[in-house]
Amino acid sequence: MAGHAWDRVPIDAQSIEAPLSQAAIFLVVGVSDGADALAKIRDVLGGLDDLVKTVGFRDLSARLSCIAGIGSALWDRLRVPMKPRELKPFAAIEGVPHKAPSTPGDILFHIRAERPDICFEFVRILLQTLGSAVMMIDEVPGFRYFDARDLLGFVDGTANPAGHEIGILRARRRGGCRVRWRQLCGRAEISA
Amino acid sequence: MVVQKYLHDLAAWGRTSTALQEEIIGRTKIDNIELDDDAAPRKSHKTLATIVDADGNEHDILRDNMPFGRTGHGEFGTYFIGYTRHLWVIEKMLERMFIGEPKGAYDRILDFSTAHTGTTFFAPSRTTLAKLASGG
Repeated sequence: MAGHAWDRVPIDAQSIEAPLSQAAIFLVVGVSDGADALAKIRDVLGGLDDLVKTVGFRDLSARLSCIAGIGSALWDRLRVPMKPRELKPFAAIEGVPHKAPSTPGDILFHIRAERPDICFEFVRILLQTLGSAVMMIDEVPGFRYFDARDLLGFVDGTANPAGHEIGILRARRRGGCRVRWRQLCGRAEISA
Repeated sequence: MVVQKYLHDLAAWGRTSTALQEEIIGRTKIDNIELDDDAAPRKSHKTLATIVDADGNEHDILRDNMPFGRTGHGEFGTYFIGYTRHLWVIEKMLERMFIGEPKGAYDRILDFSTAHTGTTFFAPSRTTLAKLASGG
């Protein structure tokens, strides 16, 4: 992908357009009660960029990236006057016969790298730093399966936006809140 | 962003003919070519997961799904992660899959894949994350 410095410098935290990778860890945590836990969360979120650098610089070609997602309840607890308008808990779907349950989670860490050990190392240090401020809800280490197939044997992800659209995405990035896939965003969904 | 953890019944999937699997998914298995299912009695996964608004605009989302599993535990899964500007796009997608379009004609991939989690998050920009960290 032309124009990227990903092979030369660590990838900024929250880079949604970071490359798809050979390995990933999806980490969902709940934040413990109390002001101490919230203070620790602020501290760790504020240092996320540095942690990506600390681990990612050890092998730049592994292209470590991390995106932190914040759940609706935690956003309320953080008491910042800019909650995204559309942020709300996942709405369960009661289909017949199949259901989509809604399950808890305050923070999702989406960690990607070309090497599973780099993902592992990042999570190890992250959780060591977070300590008792979080409770583990789910930890799923994923892997790329042959030519991007799911375990049903089909290629998964073909419908993603393509390369030239990523260019649009980058061009449109601006100082405000870059929310999600910027190519589809234009501007942030933040209510003042 | 929305995440869901799906577990697959690979034994049942393996008993399904490749032709039916391709009809369910909406793509050929070997070479990933889209199948036209306009005339099909049931919409495929590919078609149900394509969201078009009233003006005919297609709303893509960015996925970075990953397989996961523990063979010895019979665990075979897909971790779905979808990034979107507007939450309604993914909500609509899931409604079409689970409720069906028309209602009852749900996504048959769900006969082999069970959602075990479902959670919504907001991915702030670095700038906003820094503001969150400093208390606004």
